[in-house]
This record gives sequence, C-alpha cells and structure tokens, in this order.
Amino acid sequence: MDVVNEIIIVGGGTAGWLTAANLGKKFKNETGQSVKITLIESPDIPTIGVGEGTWPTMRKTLANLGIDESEFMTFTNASFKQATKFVNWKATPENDQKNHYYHLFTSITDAAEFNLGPYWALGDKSTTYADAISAQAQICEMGLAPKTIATAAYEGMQNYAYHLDAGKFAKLLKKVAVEKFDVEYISANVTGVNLSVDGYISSVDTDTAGRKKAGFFVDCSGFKSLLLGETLGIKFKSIKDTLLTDHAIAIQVPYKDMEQPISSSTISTAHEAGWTWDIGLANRRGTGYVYSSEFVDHDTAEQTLRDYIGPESKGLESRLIKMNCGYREKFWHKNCVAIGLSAAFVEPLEASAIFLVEASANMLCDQFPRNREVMHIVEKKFNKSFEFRWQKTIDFIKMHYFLSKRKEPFWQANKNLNTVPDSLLEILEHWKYHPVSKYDFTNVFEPFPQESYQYILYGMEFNQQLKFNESAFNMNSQAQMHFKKVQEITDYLSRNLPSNRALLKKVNQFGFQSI
Amino acid sequence: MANIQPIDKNVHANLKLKNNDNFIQSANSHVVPVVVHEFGVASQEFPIVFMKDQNTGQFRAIALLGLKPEENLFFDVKGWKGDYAPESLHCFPFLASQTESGSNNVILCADLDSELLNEADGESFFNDSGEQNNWLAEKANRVVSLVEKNKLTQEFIRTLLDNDLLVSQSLNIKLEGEEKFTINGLYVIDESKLNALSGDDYLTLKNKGFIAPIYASLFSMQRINRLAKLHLKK
Repeated sequence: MDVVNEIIIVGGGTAGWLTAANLGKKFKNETGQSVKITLIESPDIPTIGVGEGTWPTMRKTLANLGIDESEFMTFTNASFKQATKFVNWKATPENDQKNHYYHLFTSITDAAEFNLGPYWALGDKSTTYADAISAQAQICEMGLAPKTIATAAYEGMQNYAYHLDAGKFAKLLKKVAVEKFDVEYISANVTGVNLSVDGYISSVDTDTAGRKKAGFFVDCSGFKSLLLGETLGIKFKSIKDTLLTDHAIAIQVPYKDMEQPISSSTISTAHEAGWTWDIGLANRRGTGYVYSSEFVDHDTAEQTLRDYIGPESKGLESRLIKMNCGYREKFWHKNCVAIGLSAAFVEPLEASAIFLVEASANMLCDQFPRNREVMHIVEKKFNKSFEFRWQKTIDFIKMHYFLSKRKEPFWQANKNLNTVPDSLLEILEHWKYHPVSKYDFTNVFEPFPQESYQYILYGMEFNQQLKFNESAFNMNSQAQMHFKKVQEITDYLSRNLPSNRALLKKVNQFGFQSI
Repeated sequence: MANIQPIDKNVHANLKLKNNDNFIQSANSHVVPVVVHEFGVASQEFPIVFMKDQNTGQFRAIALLGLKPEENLFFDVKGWKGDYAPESLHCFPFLASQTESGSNNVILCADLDSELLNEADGESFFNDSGEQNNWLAEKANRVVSLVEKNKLTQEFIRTLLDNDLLVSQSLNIKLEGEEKFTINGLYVIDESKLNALSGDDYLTLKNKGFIAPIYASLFSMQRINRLAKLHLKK
C-alpha cells in the first residue's frame, strides 16, 4: 500500500490556514502527528483577504478547533451577523422610496418539517414574509445582538454568523494551526513544482527552504492556482455569461466614534450596474461596489460607492479588485486539491467564499485518502460534490438578479434568458405553482437551505400562485399559531437583547462563559 | 440606584446604622451571594448553586432563599428565620473599594441611600471625639475579608469551569396546590463528571481545598425540599 504520510499546503490566507488547522487537528493524536502537515506561504504575496462575512457554520468550525469565541472575536475585530439586508433589489427606488427585504438565519419552524411559506403567501401579506416567520428582521432593524453576555459561547438566542477581518482571521488560524496542531510553517516562495511519471505531484521547490516532498498537496495559492491550474493544467470555466459583474472597488470606513451603532446584518444595496456591500466590524466598516465594467466605468463606479458612504468617504483610500468569476473544471486532480480562490470565485453576494472553504476543508478531512492507490475514488466524489455546490451557489446568486424588477441596462441584461441557467428557470417554473419543499433539496450538501430560497423569493415578491390549490394547505390554524408566537418572541427579544455594540464591549471586557 | 460613598468622619460624624437583625435588604431577593468559605455551614440551610450575573455573564455562587423571583422564605419582619445568614448579608450596606484601580489599599464605603443609615436611630459611626466606634472597625475588617473570600470563590468557580464540572440545571418544581413551574438559569456541580476526573485533576482540587465546598454544594441540593416546605407554610 502506498500510504500518504505528508501533506503540503501551498499558500496561507483564510483557505490555507483553515485547511491546515483542520488537517492538523484530524491527524494529531497523543504521540504526535500521524500525518505531517506543512504549509508554505510566500513572504512576498499579500493575501487577498476576500470575504468578511461567514455563515453560521463558522461557529461549529471554530468550536471544533477549540478556539475560544471571545478571543476569536476580539482578535479578528468580529461582530455578530444575523442576516443580509437587500436594499433596493426589488426595484429601482422611485422618489427616494427605498425598498428592502431580509435573508435571515433564524425561522420559527424548520421549513422541511412545517413550511409556513404557503400560509403566508395565501394570507393578506400585511407583514413581510421575514417578519411573519422570524423575529430576526426586527432585531436587525433595532441593531440588537443575537444573544446576551450571559449566553454561553457559540450559543445564540438567534442564529448568527460573523463579520470579521479576514487578514486577522488568517493570522489567528495560523497561530492555532502551528501552536496547537503542530503544523509546520515555512516562509518561502514556491519556485517550481515537480511531477512523477504518473503525473502526480512529487515535490515543490522553494527559494529558501529547498525541495519539499509530500504524498498530497493542497493548492491555496489564490487566483494564481499554481498547482491545480498552472502545473496540472486544469482549466478555468468562466461564469461571466451568467453572473455579469467583473470588478469590485473597496473602501474601508472608520467609525465616527466608538459609540456608533454596528449593523446586525450585511447590507447589500443594489445600484445601476451592481451592488454595494456594507459590513460592520467592531472597529470599522468594510464597503465595496461589485459591478460590471461593461455597464459602468471605474470612475463612475467609485463615485457611486463614495456617494453611498456619504461625505465621510472624502480622503478614504479605495482599492480596485478585478474579479474573474468562475471555477475549475475539477477541484481535485490526482494528489492535489484546490481550496479557496484557486478553486473558484463568485461575487460575494451571499458570503459563500469562506463558507465553501470550510466545506472543502471538512470534506477533505473527513474523506482524506491515506492510501494513494484508491485516491481517485475520493477525487471523483469530491469533484462531484463541489461541482454541485458551486453550481447551486451560482444559481442562487443569479436568482437574486433574475427576480429583480430594476430597469437599468445591467439589470435587464441579467434577465436576458441567455444568461440564466436552465436549472434555475426550471425550478422557478415549478415554484410558481408549488411552494418550495424539501424534495427540491435532496442532496445533504445543498449550500443554501430551503428557507434561504423562500426569504429571497418572497422578499423579491416572486409571483407564486397557490390560490387555485388552496385546499391542499389545510394546517392554517397551526400556521397562525406560529405567526402569533413569532410576535411574542419579537416582543420579548426586543426588550431583552443588548445592542451589537454594547455586547461587543462586554465580550472584550468579560468574555462568554463556555457553558 | 445605590449611592456608594467613602466613609469620612468629617462628613459622616453623626451617621448611625439602624438595627438590621432580619436583613431587610434581602426581603425581596430569592438569591444571595455566598463565598466558598461558608459553603459548609450555609449548605445546612440553603441550596448552594451557581448563576450568571446578567450584566457580565460571570458566574457567581449563590444561596437560594426562595423558589420564585422576589421570594425570600427566610425573611420575616420579626427576625431572620434561619440559623445562618450569609456573610454578604452581614456586610450590607458597607463595601470595600480600591483607592485606585489595581491597588491593594481599600477604603470602607457605604450606600448612603440605604434606609439603614440615618442620624436618629442606631449605632453611631463615630464617638464624641471623632474616632470610629469599635463595631465599625470590626465591620470594616469583615468587609475587607469578604473581598478576599470573594476572590477565592472566583478561583473556585474558574477551577470548576476549567474541569468542566458545572452543568446547566433546570429545576422542575411541583408544589401542592400550585401549578408546576421551572427555575431556569441555575448551574450545579455534576457529580458524575466529578467522579470521572483523573487522579491528577482530583488531587489538584484536593490540594486547593476545594473538595469540601464541592461536596457541600452537592449535598445542599437536598435543601430544595426545605424551601418547598417553607414555601407551603407561608
């Protein structure tokens, strides 16, 4: 048997260090490391630091690594994220009348067990869908936290994720990987990649640390995709025909003072040729405009972002990022898997970047093929699984654009049927006459749950026609009970939760208890 | 809001402390903080459990005085109904404050808004020559010593947490003639986790002198029945 005893990860950043920490933990036992993990990071290439928003899955990921939540939050200037608020996505605002809807993390019922969607849709819609099935939109409107200082670490009174400084997050993960899980860290540039006769990677050459051999390689080299793309020749599939944005311009905005409220949601605001993100960390806001350069020039785009920020944007530095959206034809080839930007990138509308890094690292750890002779079977499973997850992610993001009633050319182009995947058109056709159901989500690795789709569909005022089949929804009294319960919870939480800012101060001062 | 001020013989020359044998400040409290030094004796009277301070999230050791919010089964206008009252009740309305942050020097302070303080009835703070009376000096010692005892209690709690010995516990209570109700937010020592500790970890607890208070807290859970009886007699 040809057993893998060393793994080399090329590249640091969130992807590299999260993978390193997870692998390190998996292979650490009482006598040391059963598989040696080495991470080679270039001292010269800065990390992109993509993604400042996570999914709630991050809580479990961090807890599994034994990281203290309060330490993590303080170190990465993290804050609590409970939703994405989509502003002006429904339609172009007229006479300054903004519109918005929420994509929340908490719902009163598990939609797979009891879906309240159709009961809301058949009702008078006097409350929004989000407000009907969750307290969380109101919590976000009030800028409240998802828990109190007396709630245990990683637990919430409402489900939550984080906004964080991706650069600092990578540093924290590095510390954990190296100090706690014995990952070897080499600071060097990879200058060459060597293959054996069977086309497997045998070693990498570095400028200052010599030649490093391993049985398995993880490519976390970012957009460069040094191992999977450049060396193994796995092609990049652009998705620019589906998702039309190709640039982002980013500006970090300091708080006026340390009392300024911190938003409980990522605020995504639609503009003429794209959308802006607005992410409140503990110490600053991160903002950016994701747009299509076919529909707006860079200077106008920058001005749009500065107008969004307001007068305080004066003098703040901006950073232009070219986005090449798409994914590799394969993510795993022979003894190399790509995780992070080296594998794929889509616009950060639904915070999928870090989330899919977590998912990749988890599957790699859970399925790691120690026996090289049968590695190709895991390769096949991994590729199938992640091709599915990326396609679902792309469809889900595209759905936001496709359902919009905005009129500008960029938005019209997005509705051009040539740009819409058939899989999305088909499921939307189904949902026009049927509620979203668990049978639409048969894969356990669906990146976005049933409820996420309903938040978007109903939030966007998708025209779902259920009236003709109303008698099929015969649990209305139970549904009404849940709607009433949501009102009670909203009332209770709005009186008992502290503001995001107030809780973050206490996290710094006291920290959460482990129980 | 409390009005905590340092005691100053120039300002408070005529101040007096009223008799407080029944600990009137606790009349509407169902919990009172306790220190690890008194777990043994307090466990004869009250359940000793742990609760989080809602303001800081930090754990405190407390004695349960009642089964419902604002119910103190030991309070009576005629006098305290237990054989023992926790140290913190005796110290009220006094507390010690650091002269400056991080300093070891403390000064005696009092809550001047307390109804127990006045210029008419009770024991004078200072005698006619402006010296503090003996009882006040003794009280000051008791208050300062409580600060030290609180520190050790915090270390005790930290040790319990580090050894994963605390668990959240809801008490389901059914009293005769009343609807069933639940007391939430309590944490207790988990006996099975205690028994599962390694020899080394157990020895560390023993060397710190924490075994006796751990068992005091465990046995004190029987006092719930006593509270139930007192509640029914009300």
